[in-house]
Amino acid sequence: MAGVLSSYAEIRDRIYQLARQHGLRVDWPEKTKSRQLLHLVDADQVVVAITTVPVRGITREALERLGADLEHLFGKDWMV
Amino acid sequence: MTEHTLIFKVIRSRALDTGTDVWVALPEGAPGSVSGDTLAELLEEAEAVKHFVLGLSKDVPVRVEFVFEVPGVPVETIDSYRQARARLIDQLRQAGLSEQDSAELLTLPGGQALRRTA
Repeated sequence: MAGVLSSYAEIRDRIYQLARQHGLRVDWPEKTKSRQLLHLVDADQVVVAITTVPVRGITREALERLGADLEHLFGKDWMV
Repeated sequence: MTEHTLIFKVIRSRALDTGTDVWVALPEGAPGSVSGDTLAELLEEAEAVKHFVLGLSKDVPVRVEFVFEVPGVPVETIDSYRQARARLIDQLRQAGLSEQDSAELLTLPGGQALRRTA
């Protein structure tokens, strides 16, 4: 998993960067013990992505799932 | 109101932030994931996100189910044990035992036989 973002802070910053580039608003409606819940919202206030961002218990599988959840917006290797 | 069911696939995996093994649950047909140091924590996390990952409001009933993938242990083995245990607890309850006593009896060390008195 060399080169793949793997901390919450890195992932959060990358999401903000890419959201700005794509004209999307980042919304964090809720937080659980292990996850920040994430909505990405377009200019028409439509939620275009739903996912959970790992805060603790950050495993390879959780990162792969997150990558896949936002791939349709940010492209295949957005976490690299 | 229709009750929805959300199935989580559950695995053990090494956490990159702590270096310890944790439980991870991945919802089938829905985005996201949750994790927990213990199963109890994991179940709590799954309950906390179930409406969100399905895009449903919190007044919609959602039942959560788990499929455990433990290396070397077939899923069917875990499922059939849990079903047999649930049936046995039911029988113990019908025999007059409390829920707590029924569960406690099933965890007593070996050699403690249940004698039939009727």
